Amino acid sequence: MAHVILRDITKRFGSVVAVDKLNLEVARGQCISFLGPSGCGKTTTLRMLAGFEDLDEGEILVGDRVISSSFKNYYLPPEKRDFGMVFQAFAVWPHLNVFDNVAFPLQIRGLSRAEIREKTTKALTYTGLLDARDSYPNELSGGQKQRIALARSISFNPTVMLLDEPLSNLDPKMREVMRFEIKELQKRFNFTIIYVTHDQAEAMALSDRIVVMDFGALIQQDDTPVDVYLKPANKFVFSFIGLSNFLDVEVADGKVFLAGARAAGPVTAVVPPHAAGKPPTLACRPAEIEMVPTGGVYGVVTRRVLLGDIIDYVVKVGPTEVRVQRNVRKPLFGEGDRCGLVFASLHWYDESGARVSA
Amino acid sequence: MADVRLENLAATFGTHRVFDGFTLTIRDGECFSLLGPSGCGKSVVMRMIAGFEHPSAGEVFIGDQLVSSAAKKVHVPTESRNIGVVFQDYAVWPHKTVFENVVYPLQIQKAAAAEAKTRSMDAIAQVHLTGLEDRYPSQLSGGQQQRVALARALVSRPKIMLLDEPLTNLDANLREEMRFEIKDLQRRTGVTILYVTHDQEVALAISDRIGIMGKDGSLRQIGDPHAIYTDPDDGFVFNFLGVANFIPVERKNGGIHVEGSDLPLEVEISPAARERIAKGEVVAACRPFEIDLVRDGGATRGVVRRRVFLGPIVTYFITVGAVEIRAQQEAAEAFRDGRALEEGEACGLTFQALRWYDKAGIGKEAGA
Amino acid sequence: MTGTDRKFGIAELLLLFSVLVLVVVVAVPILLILWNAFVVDGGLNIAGVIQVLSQPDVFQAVVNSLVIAGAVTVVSTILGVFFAWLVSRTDLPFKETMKLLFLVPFMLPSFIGAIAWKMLLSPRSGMVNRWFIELFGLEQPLFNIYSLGGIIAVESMYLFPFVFIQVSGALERMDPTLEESARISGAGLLTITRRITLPLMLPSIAAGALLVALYSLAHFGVPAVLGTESGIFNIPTLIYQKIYASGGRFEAIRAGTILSSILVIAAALILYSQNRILTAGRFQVIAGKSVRPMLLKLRGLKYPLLLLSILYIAVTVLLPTITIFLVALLKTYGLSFSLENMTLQNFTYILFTMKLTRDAIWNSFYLSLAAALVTMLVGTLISYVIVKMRVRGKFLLEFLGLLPFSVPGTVIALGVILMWSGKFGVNLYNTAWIIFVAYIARYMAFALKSTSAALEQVGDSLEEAARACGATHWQAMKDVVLPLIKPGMVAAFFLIFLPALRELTTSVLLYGPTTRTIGVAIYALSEDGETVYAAALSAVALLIIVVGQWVIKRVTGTTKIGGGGA
Repeated sequence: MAHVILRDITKRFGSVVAVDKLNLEVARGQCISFLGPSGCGKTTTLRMLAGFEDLDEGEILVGDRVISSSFKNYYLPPEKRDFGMVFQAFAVWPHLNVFDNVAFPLQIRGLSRAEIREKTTKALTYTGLLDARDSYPNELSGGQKQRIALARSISFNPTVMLLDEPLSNLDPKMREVMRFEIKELQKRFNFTIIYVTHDQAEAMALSDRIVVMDFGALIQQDDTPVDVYLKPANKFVFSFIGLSNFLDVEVADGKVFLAGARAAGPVTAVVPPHAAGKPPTLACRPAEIEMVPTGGVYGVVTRRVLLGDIIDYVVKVGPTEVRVQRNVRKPLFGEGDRCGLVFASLHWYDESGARVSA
Repeated sequence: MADVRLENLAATFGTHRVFDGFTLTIRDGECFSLLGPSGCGKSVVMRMIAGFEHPSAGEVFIGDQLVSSAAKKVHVPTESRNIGVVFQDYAVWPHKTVFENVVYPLQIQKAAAAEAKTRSMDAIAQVHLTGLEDRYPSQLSGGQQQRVALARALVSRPKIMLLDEPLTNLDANLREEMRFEIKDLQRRTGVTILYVTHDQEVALAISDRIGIMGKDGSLRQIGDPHAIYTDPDDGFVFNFLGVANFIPVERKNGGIHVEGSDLPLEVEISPAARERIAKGEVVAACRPFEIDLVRDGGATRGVVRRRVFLGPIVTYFITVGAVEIRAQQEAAEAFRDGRALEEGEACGLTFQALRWYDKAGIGKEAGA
Repeated sequence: MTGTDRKFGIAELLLLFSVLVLVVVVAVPILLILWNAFVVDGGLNIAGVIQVLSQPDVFQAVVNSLVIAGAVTVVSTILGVFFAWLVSRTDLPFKETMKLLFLVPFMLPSFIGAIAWKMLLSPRSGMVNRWFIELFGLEQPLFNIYSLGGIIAVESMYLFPFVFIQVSGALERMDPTLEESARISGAGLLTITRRITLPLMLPSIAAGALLVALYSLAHFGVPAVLGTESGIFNIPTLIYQKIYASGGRFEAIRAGTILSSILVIAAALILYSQNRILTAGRFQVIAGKSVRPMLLKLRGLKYPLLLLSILYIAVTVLLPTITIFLVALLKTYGLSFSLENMTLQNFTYILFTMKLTRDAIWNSFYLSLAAALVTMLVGTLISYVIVKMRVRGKFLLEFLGLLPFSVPGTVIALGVILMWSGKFGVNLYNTAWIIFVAYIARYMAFALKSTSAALEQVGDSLEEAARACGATHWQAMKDVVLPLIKPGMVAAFFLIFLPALRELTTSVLLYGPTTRTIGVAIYALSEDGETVYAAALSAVALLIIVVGQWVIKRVTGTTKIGGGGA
């Protein structure tokens, strides 16, 4: 049975519909991310889950317990929802030491001192903070502060954890470390995690499921990270997850050519279905185009940039510029060199952005 | 346009020695990046060339002119050096419009008003800010402010341009865009550029040559970006420029093993390297993409402890003996061809390139 | 050694000049006071100090000062926190207007308020008392403003904005996720306020409270107007009484300096505590992004509390102000307020005829103007040396610059008397110059704070960029630094001009027959029983202040409220 259920959730701010009839179910122990551009409604949805905003229409259920419902005119305030929550700016209380921060929710719940000590110590141990329990937050690093926030939210054994861009304020190395720690905690405690982020790499690294959202919290795709990356449902998702080339094509002799570059050679002989004269747009990732010295679609290298382990090329095929990224150990092409492009994976999207299967 | 020669420069603040014996020539018309971790002194080098700091020893030449020498008591003040400087915080004057900012150097030079206007508008056009000349910096974005700073630095046709981490405060997309603008500008004007940064991505992308500074202020290596990236002289440079695996090895049963592993390492190792391995002086080093992962066979074997899917690549953390090695595969191919590995799976590793570096030269971060 | 470009010698000269100014103007007067208090005939004389302190009137004055300051601090804190919380954390209607109105007492000189309250609540002739007696047929007046309670009440009314500003600012800027995370952890609003919000507010509350304590201890005006009648003295008023009653005799001066030393020590302690509290890095609670704090829904209490707030403002701000204006219009004090008893004559008299008031207005204007100008310019120079120059010995300036901050006006006046009354060959006593010098000492700290803040905003790279464009050091200063700190300098000017214009505490010890200031004139008229003229001049002063505030707002684009006190 689904653990967290959002049914027809709608939220308006004045005339703006921030969340438009959102429907979602999350299974127990799953980690799902809301991924989307700033302002798409993902944070608003999370805050409605937490209870800091009330929904205008719809219901939220956890298990079989109604948390908030416009139909039944019911709203459970945040302090009664029993969720763990981690915020972007850590929200760790500076006037309490680490132990007191983590023990706070247990004290509120009126547990005995012995129980408080036991559970707090456990939470501190799992997050590696036991030695720092007497320190104050301002003496600790960003990563440590985020761990305090994590420990505080798991100390009372919640079943649902809400994370609002928790790693954005950390440096890249720390982000990687904390990603793993969150994953480990999830495996150990089996909570359901709902995670909001605008960083697609983070969403991919952490989630069992990614929910890609556009404005109005409209779901564009709800899939595993691998499927979202390899089979983006539409143009929006394709361009949001990773680098893209969107190329215009023309069809002739049963083959597909890059627009205005018939002389360069065909891209593929597998023509996607389309209305006459309106071929779909070709989308492909720079990392999935092979460059060869002879053969392939003929083009000229107009720019080459070393990015470290990747060389970034711009190859001009007729009037079209194609971006290609190759690993640095592969043979180099110089600016002005001719090369052939071999398109390893092709995605097709029609003019409304919907996916077309070839 | 001029070259810059630094000879035996030393910088000491109070009792704190930042660097000494620093010698470098930046060629006329080249784009040179000085790369190094925070605190290594790279900004001090730039500020000495600019004239904001006096060297405690050594000499600075711009072109043929000696501009700074502690011993000879020479110090040509900044305003007489004919340089352009772009700062990390842009340093665009908030009380002047874009035009007023850019025309300032020409006003100081007492250029004729008409000429000053033409040249300033040209510079503004070169950085694609035409139409915004009457705006104030507070009405511009970070990227636009940075372009104002660029135009202002170029308008007086300086001999050299000094850029101090100019792109650090911009977001990733903007950084990419500005990278190309700087490179384009340099190509068009032929001005000599010294670019100072801790961000290797930009340095690798735009430079004709890069120089890497160590934390102690020493120049570790100078050369072509691609060559340095693929074949650095020492472990510090290797680690600084990208993700690195440092693999400690040991001699066991007459063969070379990854530390803690029972399997011998099936790679070609030169006799010289073998000797150093025997003395315990070196570690092996390679980049994650220089390792091929196979299900059977391989130069050595390990177990996948963790797999992280990030999009274009899948990263694996593989336990080999007592060492954790980071490897990767191109995701699309790997999933389609069924080569992707699961956590807990055993696998083989084949090394495309393995380098041997002194343990001593690497620095603590490598954990060698 | 690696160093910076220097025009050799000029930097050192500027440093020397700055140190000299601060030493002569600020340090020496204070040192003279401490010397005079503790040293007699070249030897440390603690016994003498104790003997003076044990004199009944001196001892009582010290006790009164502490009692008043303590009580005022407590009352102001309660008022300040309550109203700040009301305005920043509830859904009280008309919040923005309320916020402005609560800040009005800040602008008005409290001794004028005291005079108004004297007219309302003095036991025999106070209008409110008389009204109650007539209405309820009472035998005794209901209120006696000439009491400790009266002093405490009036001071609190005018000092609570210190706490209000600090706390409402902090509440509004506090990171809301600190409270949200407490909520999601299970805590209700009451628990959150008790365990999270209040503890985090403590530094701001303490900062405001300490400022109130400092001002109250150093305050002359209200105790002078309301206390001397019943023999209640605090330290500044006792000093005044002794100096004037004695005509400059040694023992009186000594009592004055000993009492001043207590003020200096108290001020130093308070500033030290404030410094410690504010720099405690623990309490960095300001949010980076724009914030939406949690608001408490007042429901049934909304309108009662709104009414309470309006009533409070009406009684503490509107009532005294209206009283002043109405009395100023009376032909003679004591007449009832009917149109036939009203006239504008009082205003024309004090403005055009009466020598006392005409001189006072003129004196105040030119003294404040001159002091503000000089202090601002010198302050800018000193700030530049502290903030921008790399020169050895700077720490001395930084230390000296901290000294005058909030040293009580009485202390500065006394110190200036000691220094410039012929001791070093220069006698400025009874001239306008001595007031001028005292003002510079008194307000130097404001100039330093304002201009150094402005200078710190001008990053080094802005000057360096100009140099790289070919500008010399001086050109860079002229073209880049000066334009950018102009607003700070203008702010400093007004921060000094308005408070100096209306102050009383300092000039009351320094004035001579021809060098009265507006504050002194109002006080003198009030003490002499010329109530309607005192009221008229007070009304004029209030108008000048209001106009001045408006001018500041237009010129600087902000409401720089030149902090209370007189």
